[in-house]
Amino acid sequence: MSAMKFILCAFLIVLTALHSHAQDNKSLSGDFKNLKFDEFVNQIEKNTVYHFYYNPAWTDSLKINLSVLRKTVSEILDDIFQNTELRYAIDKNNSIYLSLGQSLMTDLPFDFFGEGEQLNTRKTNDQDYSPYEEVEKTKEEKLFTIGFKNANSKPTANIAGYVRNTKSGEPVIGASVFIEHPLIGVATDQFGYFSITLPKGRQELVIKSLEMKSTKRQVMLYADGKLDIELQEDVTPLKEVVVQSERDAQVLGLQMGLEKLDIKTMKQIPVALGEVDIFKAILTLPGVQSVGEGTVGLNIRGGASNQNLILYNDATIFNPSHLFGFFSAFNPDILKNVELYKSGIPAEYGGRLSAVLDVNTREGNKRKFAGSGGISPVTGRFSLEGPIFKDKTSFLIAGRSTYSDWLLTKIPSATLKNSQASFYDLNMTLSHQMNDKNSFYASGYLSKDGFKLNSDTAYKYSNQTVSAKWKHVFGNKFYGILTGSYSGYDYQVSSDVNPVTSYQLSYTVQQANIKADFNYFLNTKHTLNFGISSIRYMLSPGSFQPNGSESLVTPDVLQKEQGEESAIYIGDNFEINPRLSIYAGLRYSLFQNLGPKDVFTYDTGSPKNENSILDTVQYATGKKVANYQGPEYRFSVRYTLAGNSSVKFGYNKMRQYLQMLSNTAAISPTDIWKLSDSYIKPQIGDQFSIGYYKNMKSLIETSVEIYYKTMENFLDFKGGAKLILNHHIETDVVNATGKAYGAEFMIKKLSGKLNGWISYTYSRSLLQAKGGSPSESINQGKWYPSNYDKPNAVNFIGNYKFSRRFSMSLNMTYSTGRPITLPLAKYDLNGSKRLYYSERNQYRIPDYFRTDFALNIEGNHKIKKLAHSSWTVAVYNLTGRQNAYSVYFISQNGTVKGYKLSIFGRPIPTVTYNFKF
Amino acid sequence: MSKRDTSFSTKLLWLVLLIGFGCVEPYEPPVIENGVSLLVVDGSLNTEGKSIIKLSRSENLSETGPVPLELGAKVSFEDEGGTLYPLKEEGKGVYFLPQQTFNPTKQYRLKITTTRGKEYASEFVPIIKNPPVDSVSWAITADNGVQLYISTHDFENNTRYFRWTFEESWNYLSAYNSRFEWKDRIPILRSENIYQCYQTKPSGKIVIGSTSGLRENIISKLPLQYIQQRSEKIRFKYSILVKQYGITKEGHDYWLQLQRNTESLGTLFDPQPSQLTGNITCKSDLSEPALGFFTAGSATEKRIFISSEFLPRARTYITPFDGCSSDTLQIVNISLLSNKDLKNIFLLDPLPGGPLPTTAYSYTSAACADCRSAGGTTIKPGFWQ
Repeated sequence: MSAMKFILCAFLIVLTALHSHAQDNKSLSGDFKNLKFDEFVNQIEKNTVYHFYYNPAWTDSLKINLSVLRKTVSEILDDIFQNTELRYAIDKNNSIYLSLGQSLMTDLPFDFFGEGEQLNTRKTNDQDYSPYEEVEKTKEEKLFTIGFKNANSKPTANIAGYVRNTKSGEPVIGASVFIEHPLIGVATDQFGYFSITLPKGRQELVIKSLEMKSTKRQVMLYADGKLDIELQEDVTPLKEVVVQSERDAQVLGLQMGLEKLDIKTMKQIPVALGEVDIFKAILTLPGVQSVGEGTVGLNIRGGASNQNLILYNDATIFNPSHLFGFFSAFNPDILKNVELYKSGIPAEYGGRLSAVLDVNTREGNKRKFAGSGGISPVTGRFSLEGPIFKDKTSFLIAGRSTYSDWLLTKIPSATLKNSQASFYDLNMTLSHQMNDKNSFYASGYLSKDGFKLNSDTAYKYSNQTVSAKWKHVFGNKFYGILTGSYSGYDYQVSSDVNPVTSYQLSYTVQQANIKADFNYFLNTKHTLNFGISSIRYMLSPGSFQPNGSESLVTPDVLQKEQGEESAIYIGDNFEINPRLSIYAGLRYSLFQNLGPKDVFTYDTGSPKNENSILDTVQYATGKKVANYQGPEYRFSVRYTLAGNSSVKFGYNKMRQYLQMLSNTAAISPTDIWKLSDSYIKPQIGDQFSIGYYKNMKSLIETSVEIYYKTMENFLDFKGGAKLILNHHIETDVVNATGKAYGAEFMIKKLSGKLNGWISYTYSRSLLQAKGGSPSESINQGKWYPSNYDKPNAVNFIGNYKFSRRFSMSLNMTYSTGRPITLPLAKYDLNGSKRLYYSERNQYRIPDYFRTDFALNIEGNHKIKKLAHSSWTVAVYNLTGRQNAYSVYFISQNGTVKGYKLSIFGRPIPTVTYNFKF
Repeated sequence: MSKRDTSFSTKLLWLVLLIGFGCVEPYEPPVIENGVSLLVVDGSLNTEGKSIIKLSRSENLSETGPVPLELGAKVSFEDEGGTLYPLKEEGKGVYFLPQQTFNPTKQYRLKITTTRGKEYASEFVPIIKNPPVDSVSWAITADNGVQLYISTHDFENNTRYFRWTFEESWNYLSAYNSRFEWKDRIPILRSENIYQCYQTKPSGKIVIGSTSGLRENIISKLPLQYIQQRSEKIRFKYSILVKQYGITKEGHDYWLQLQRNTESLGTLFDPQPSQLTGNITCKSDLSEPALGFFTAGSATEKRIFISSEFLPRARTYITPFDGCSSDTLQIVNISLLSNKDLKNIFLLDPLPGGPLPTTAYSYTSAACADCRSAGGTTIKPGFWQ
C-alpha cells in the first residue's frame, strides 16, 4: 500500500507541476453550448486552476448546455451531474476527481485516473514484482462500480473487457471469468475479450488462466459497463502445468472433443530431435494417431490427414511439415496456444471433415523488448518482440533454420556429401490497439524446404500465408472481426542429371479468404455468433517443363483449376438453466468449380478410363463447371449432474471441397490438392459423440467420450494409380464410404508435484469402395481398414517436479500396428521372384511401443538477470525398441526378402538449450 | 515420373538410416495360412523365332524348394478369327511353338487348359513391331562404378512403350591357379584350364521406359544397370546383351506396377502395393486369379563389351572366392592321404621352386581353385570377343 501511495503521489506531483501556471481563478463565466464533457473540461482547465481526473467512458454520453455567470466550479458541476450517477470531489491541489455512484472518496482510491488500471503498471518497475503483489491485493479488495445506478430496471447487466498480461500487455486467451454463486462463467476469446451477463448487485468476479496468477474483482453492477483486467504471469513457469480454469471448463464448458495445449505442456513432452513440436504433443492425446514416426499427418478420430483444417493465425496451412516431416512447420518459441476440435465443431469452422487445429502465435510484448531462442541438434531459432508504440502497437518476428546442410557434409558418405536438406521459416505478427473499440492484427508466415539427394533430383516446397484482422467493438455485447487471409503452397521437383530428360515439375495451390465474424452476447442466456466467409481457390495442378535447351521433355501443363467456396453461419449458445446448456449452429456452404476448364465426358455404361472418354466439354472463364452446396448442422448439449460431473452430446456435419490426393501412407511433399469437380464430389462427414466428465476432489479429472462418424465420397485409389500429371484423375480414383467409431477414456491429474495424464482409446476406421465394376471396387466392395486404423492406443504422460528448477517427464505410448497389405505368395516371372499381395490392408505391422524421458533444468529464478535459460536433456525411445514404420518385401537376386524399417530404432539422446531475455 | 520418385525415396531412406536413427531389419511375416497356388504364365508370342511359354504355380513365401511347375497343360495361341496355334510341351513347365508367320494386323491371345480341367485365357493383344536398339552405352560414375544406359527411338511410332531384359557375361579367375593335377597320385602339369571361367546371368530386373511424355519418340540414355567398382563383373571383361521389346500401354502399366510392388518398396513414401494379376484370367472360375502378362512381338538385341583397361582399377574385387587360402603339402605326406582326400587337393606351385628339388607343393581346395565352382563355365562363349 505504501508503495502504491508513493507512486500516486509522484504522479500527482508531476501533474500538479504541469498545471501550476494555471490562472488563479476559481470561478467561471460563459456560454457552453452543446459541448461534449471533454471539451467542457478543456475549457475549464484553460480558464481555471482546476484539473480534472475521470474516465472518459463515464461521460461520453453527457452533453453540456449551460449559461453561467461567475459561478464556482462546484456549482457548475452540481448542475451538470444532476440526474446522473456521476459524483465529484475537489482536493486541496485543485484537482477534481469524478466518480460513479458513490460520491466522495475520503482517501485517494488508487484507480482514479481513468480507464483500466494502466496507471499502476505503467509506473512500476517491470522487473520488480513486489509492488504488483500489493497492487493486486488492492485491486482484489477494491469495489469497482459498473454502470450508473438506476440506469434501467433489468435484473441483469453486462460486463465486457479485455484480460491482459500485466507484464507484456498481450491478451490472455482462454481465461475463465466467472462468479461462483450462482455459477456463471465465460472464457476470453482469441483477443482476450470477454462479455459476461450477471445479476445486478455486488459480485465477486474470479479470473483464472493457465500460467497466470488467479485473481478476482469486486464489482458493484448497476448497468452494462467495461472492466479491463490484468493478470500477472506466474513468475516461475514450473509451478503448475494446467491451471484450474481448464479443469472447470472440462465439466462446465459446452464444448466437447476440444483439446487445448499450451506451450508449457508441449515443452514437457520429450521429442526426438530436441525441438518442441506441437504435432508430437497432439499425438499424445486420445483419438489422435499418425501413420508412423517422422510423419506430420495427423489422423484424428479415424479421419485422413488431409481432413484436418490447420489454421495458423487464421490462414490455412497446406503442408505443416519440414524436413520430410521430422519437424512441424511451427516455430515453438512464438506459439501461444493450440486448440484441437475433434468433435462438436462450432459453426464458424468449415471446409474440412475431421477436425480443426487452430494454432495461434503470441502477440508481441507491448511494454518492452524481449527475445528468445534455442539451439537443438538440428535447428537454431531466434525471436524478437517489443512495442512500436508502447501499450498500443507491438511486433513479433521469429526465424528458424537448420544447419543440416552442414551436418550432411560431415557425414562420411559419398552419397550424403552431395546431398542437401534444409529448411527455414519466418514469422511476423503485428498487433495494434487503436482504441477501446478498434484493434488490428497482421501476421505473415513463410516457410521453405529444399532437399537434393545425391545431386540427383532437387525438391523444394514452400508455404506462404498472410492474414490481417480488424476487430471492432460495437458495444459491450457486440463485436465483429473482419479477416482477410491468403495461403499458398507450392512445390518444385527438378532434375538435370541427363540433359535430354531434364525437367522441372511444379505445383501450386493458393487461396484467398475473406470473412466477417460477429459475436453478440444477447443476454445471460444467449450468446450468438454469426458470420459470412468466402474463399477463392486457385490451383495449378501440375506443370512439367523442359529444364535446359537440350531437354527433349514435352511441356505438359495440367489446366488450372478455380473454385469459390462461400459460407454463411449462425450459432447460438443457449443456457436454458444452470444445469442445461445447448449450442445449435447452422452453416450453409456453397462451392462452385469455375472455368475456364475442359472436362471429359465418359461413357456412362462403362467404368471411367482413357478408353471410355467420349467427348470434351469446354467451359469459359468464370463459367460454373460444377456446383455443390448444403447445410452443415452443428449441435451440442451439456447437462450438469450432481457431484461435479456432466454429460454432453454433440453432432456435427461437415463438407470438404478441397481434398488431397495421396497414395502413400504418409503425407509426402509431392501430394497434390484437388478441388471438387464434375467427377470428384465433395466429402461429407457426420459425427455423433457423447461424453461423460467428472472431476474428483483430489484434482483428478476423468472423461469418457464415444463417437461414431461416417464419411461419404472419401477418395481412395486404384492399385497403381497415377496421381502426378494426370489429366483425368477421375479414372484413377475410387469413391469410398468411410465409417469410424471409438471410445476415449482419460484420467488427468492436473497439479501437484506429480501431474500428467493417461488415456486409452479403442477406435476403428473402415472404408468401403463398391463401384460399378471390379476396377472401381477395392477388396470386392467389402469394408476394409483404412491406413491409419489402430484399434488400441494407450498414452501416458507423466511429469514430476523435484523443485522449481528440476522436473522430469516420462512419456509412454502404445498402439496397435497399422494395417498393411502383405504378400500371400511368391512366384517366378522372367527369372525373378515376384509377390502376390493380399487384399488391401488385411494384415498389420507389429504393435508400437515407445518410452521417452526428459529432464528439464531451468536456470535460477532471479528475476533480474540478463537472460533466462533452460536446458532440456531428453532421450527419445528410451528402451530402443525397433518399432516398425513399415514392413516390405523386396525381390533381390531371385529371392524375396522381408524387411522391417524403423525410423527411430534406438534411444536418441538430445540436449537443447533455450534462452529468453 | 514414378521412377524418379522412387529413386528419391530410396535415397531419402538411406539418408535417414545413415544419419543414424533408423534401421532396417529382416522381418519374417506371420505365417499366412493356406497360401494360394495360382497359375503363373511367363512368356510371349514371338513373331521372329521360337515362342516360349513357361507355366508354373505360385507358392508360400516360406517354401524353399524348387518352383512348382504346371505340367501336362494344353497351351495354344489363338487369333481373333479363332485359328489355334497349339504349343508343344518341352518339359519343366516349358511349352513352345517353332517359328511361324503371324498376321501383324491381327490380335492374338493365349489359351491354357490345365490337367485339372481349368481354362485360362489372356486378353487379345496386338503384335507390336519393335525398333532396333540404338545403343547400349556406359559411363564411369562419381564413385568409379559403371552405369549402363540404353537408347532407342521409333520414328515409325509403332510404340511409345518399351521393356528391356538383359543378360550379363564376364570372365573371371578362381582364387588360385592350380597348375598341377593328380595322375596316379603323382602331380603332373594340368592339361585343362580351370582357372579362367565365363559367367552368364540373365537379370530379373524390370526395365521399362516410355516416351509418352516426350515430344519425340526417343529414349535417350535410360539407366539400365549399375555395376559397382569392386564388382567381379568388370575386373577383366564384361559383356551385356540387351533385348528390347515394344509393348502396349497396358503392358507398361503392368510392369510398372510389378516393379512398384516388388522392387521399389521400403521407403518413407511408399505407394500401396496392389493385388496385381495381369491380362490372364481363369475362365472356368472367375474368382481364381492368374498371374502374368501375355504379349506378342519380337525382340531386338544389342551386345556390347567393356574391357577393364578403360575402367578405374579397384584395389580389391568382391569375388565368390573371398576367404580362400592355401597351405603346404609335403611330398612325403602324400602317401598318408586317401584318393578321396587327394581329389580335393588342388596343387598350385612346387616348393621351394627354382633349381632346388621340389619337396612340397602349395595347394588349395576345389572351391578355391576350380572356377566352375562359382557357377561359370570354362568354355568360351561363342559371342565372346
